Amino acid sequence: MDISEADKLYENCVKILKENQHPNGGFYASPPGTRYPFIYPRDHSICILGAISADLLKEAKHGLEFMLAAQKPSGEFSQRYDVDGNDTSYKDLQIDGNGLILYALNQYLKATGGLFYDSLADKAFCNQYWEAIEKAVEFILINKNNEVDLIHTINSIHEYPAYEHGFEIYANCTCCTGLFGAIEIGEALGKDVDEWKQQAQQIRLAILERLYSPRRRSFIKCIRVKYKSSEPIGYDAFASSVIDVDAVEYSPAHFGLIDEHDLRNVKTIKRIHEKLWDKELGGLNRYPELWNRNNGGYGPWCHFTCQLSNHYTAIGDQDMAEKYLWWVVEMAHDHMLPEHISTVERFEMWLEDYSNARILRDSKLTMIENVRSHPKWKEGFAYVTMPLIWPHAEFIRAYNNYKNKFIKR
Amino acid sequence: MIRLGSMLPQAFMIGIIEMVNEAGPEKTAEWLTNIGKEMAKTQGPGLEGSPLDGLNYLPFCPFADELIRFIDIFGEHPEEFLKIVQYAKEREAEDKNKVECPAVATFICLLHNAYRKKRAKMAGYETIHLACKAIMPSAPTAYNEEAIKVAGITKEEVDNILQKGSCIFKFIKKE
Repeated sequence: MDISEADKLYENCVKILKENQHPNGGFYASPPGTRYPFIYPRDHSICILGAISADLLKEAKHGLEFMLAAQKPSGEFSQRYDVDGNDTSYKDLQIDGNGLILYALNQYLKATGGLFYDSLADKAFCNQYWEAIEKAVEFILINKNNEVDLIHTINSIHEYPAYEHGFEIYANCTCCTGLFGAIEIGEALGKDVDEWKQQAQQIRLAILERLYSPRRRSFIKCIRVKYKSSEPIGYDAFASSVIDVDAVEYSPAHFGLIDEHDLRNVKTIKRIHEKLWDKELGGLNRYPELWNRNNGGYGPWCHFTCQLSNHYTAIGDQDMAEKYLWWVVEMAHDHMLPEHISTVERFEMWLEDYSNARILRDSKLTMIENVRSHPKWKEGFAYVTMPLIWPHAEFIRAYNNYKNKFIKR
Repeated sequence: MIRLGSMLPQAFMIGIIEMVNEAGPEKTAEWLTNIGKEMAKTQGPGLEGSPLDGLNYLPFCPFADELIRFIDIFGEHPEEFLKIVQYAKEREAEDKNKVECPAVATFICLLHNAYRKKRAKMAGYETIHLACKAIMPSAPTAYNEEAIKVAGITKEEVDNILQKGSCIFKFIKKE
């Protein structure tokens, strides 16, 4: 890998992250005037984690303040907010936001403490928001199904209920790690968190048992269930499972619920790489092509490619880590990253499908114009949503992990 | 056909018909408005809809499908629903502060506007409701002429937005 090129991308990622934090603390999903000038708890949490990784602790804290203050009375974090923290969501529940905020908060606490956790960690900040932490935890737990001990959601990372409505793996892993994060915070503050501990352990075990397919040697995407309180779930109207490969089946290890070397994870990663590494473009697709839901055409996503590189870094496979990260560096344009990359041919096929089905809408028409006017179009690429802030934060995290493992010795 | 697992919205609409017959359209309108406000409190501050040149609009009515299902089963425009809309229009005619009134195309607009308005108020915004397209083709689109004037646009511009949307409103930041 050309380290100087990677360093340049890293520096620009840090700059972009800083530039796209509104003075109120929210990280835009994409810059004002572009496709997603709102604050989405999922993207925002990853930006906070990126800021922590880049040692921007003041920015991370400001981001946490913004989101904790925007919590709904129920304890939920909505799909998206405006820069003033007003709920502007238009989609149903995406419970992974609750887990991610708690996870990010605990990562912030640990980062502020470092080697002197007991004396230096910003416990006062967590104490100030303890009520919000409790409500966020309670909201997760009221969405837990007591028969299978899994968390129910309608949307998850792909905002696609057709495959995510039910007990979905990313939602469950983020919520579970978020609970463990809240427990660690609670313990640091001297709170009684025994009940949460028991609940988090139950969820972790349920993920490892019910969302893992021994026959496929892989975690699976989702157990589809319509109602969170269905019991027995076998009689639920949706009762079925989604066994398609999905990049987020790496979540149990990515969020620290199992070891990276655990065979269940290693085999899952093998399946993800075999089925989702793009044979034409390189880079990692998020799910199979036949879902036909990539706006702008099927193709690899920068942030999922960064995410998976973390596995190879963690197990010490430098060749594969480099293959993943170098692809991201190579595909950057002006040291910026898009949401995903497609080809002109795939873009046109997608456009035909969506036009025939009459499911194009205004925002997609704008996106189409932007893709066609991007300089990469002439080279045969469709760069979709440029820049998206999330992959910049993921690159910061993944590249720091890579450097810490293989370069800084 | 009504499935048991999804009958609550339909049961709610039967309840509204009963309420109009038992207590009259005025009480029912008040009741629907209160439900909207109470629901808003559970959700906290929020601004609804897609932003468009200083206005916000909904591409389609979130209640349309349930309402159409109901009408398919129970017949177009149960008289009681029309009584609520009629009452809302009479109240608007008498109201000195017309700009504050909802544009009521169906009875459900009362609940919806109260919900939207309350959430916006919690966020520090006033809401004016410019227009709402009727769900059934035979019913007229509802306009709030005063609100359209205050928003500084023409009725033709409102109609243009309604070509791709169902409900138009504006949030005005409170000083």
